[in-house]
Amino acid sequence: MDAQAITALLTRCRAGDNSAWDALVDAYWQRLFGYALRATGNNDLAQDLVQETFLRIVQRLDRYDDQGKFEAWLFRILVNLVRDHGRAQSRHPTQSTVVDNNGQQGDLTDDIANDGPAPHEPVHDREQVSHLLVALRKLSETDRQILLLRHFADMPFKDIAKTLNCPIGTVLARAHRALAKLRTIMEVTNDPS
Amino acid sequence: MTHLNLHEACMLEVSGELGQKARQHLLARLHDDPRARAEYETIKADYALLRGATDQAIPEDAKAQIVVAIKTGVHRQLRERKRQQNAEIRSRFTYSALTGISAVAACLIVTLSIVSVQHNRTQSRDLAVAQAEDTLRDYIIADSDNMTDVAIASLNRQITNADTALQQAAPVESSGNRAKLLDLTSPFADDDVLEDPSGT
Repeated sequence: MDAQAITALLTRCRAGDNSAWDALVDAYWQRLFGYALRATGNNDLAQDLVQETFLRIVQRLDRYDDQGKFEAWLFRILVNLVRDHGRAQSRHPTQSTVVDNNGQQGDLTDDIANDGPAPHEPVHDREQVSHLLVALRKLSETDRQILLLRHFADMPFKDIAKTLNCPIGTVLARAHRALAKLRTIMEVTNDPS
Repeated sequence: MTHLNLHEACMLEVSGELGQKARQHLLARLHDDPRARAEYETIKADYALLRGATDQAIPEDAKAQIVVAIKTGVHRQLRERKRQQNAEIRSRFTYSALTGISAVAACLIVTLSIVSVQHNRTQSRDLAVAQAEDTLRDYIIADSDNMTDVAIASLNRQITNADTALQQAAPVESSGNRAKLLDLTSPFADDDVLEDPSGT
């Protein structure tokens, strides 16, 4: 959706047009959900966080000064919500769950290989992806944020820079570092010896 | 973004975000430098792996449920927000109306108090004027034998003039003025009106 279309949509949303809000949800929910799901590893929680993101947009849209940064603003709200949730969870830890290839939840300590593969999916790919998701959770928050925004929220690096309020060079450097760490973690996971 | 290093250029290229000129430069380098090509392939493989995880589509029915739940929440929030806004408008209107009514009531009370006090004062003065007039009349009647015709005529004229002036210049509430015009505070100050009974 281009900047002009977003501005027009936001104008209708401000006027209280329900169909405009539906269009806004349709335009962004999947990318937001993709980020939240991989960041939290929990389907229900991801859904709650995405919903909360939209509710905050409803509350704050009147005060939002549109300068073509709506998407960055939207994702920043979600990133902050995920981060706050992570902090709250670290203060009051509960059993962590991870979402597998089929969106099913499992405990992080579960033997991932025990999950039955989807019939159409090669076992090798499925294992790789499961390892990847676990490895992602082992990255630092900032590193994980960048990879999740790029790959699960399908956000270009320049928009990630806007969302995280840092120069694009820093984002690229962190992304590169995060990929290297991810690779290392996965190599260790794949080859425990 | 003119000074991209190899990692940055590779990542942007794999992301499809690299500009035309930088891309040509990178491709040339990849062609010439096996280490750069290896770096590019590694990043590409990482991206492919991440894309594989991304591509695990959420089942359609789950998608539908999620989007319906989100939209329902948004609509509920919009209704709640509208309700709050209406309540605020009502509250603001009620406050303004109550303020206005209170102000009018306060003005009314102050006005009534002033009128009431003024009315009581006027009544008191009217009573005082009437009593003074009676006293004057009694005195004049009692002393008429001692007054010359000229003095009586002068006195009558003065009373008539005073009454006329009273009606023209002083409305009912100005009983103070009436008293002044009649000079009831010192009814016998004018020596021309009364003659000394002793004739001195």
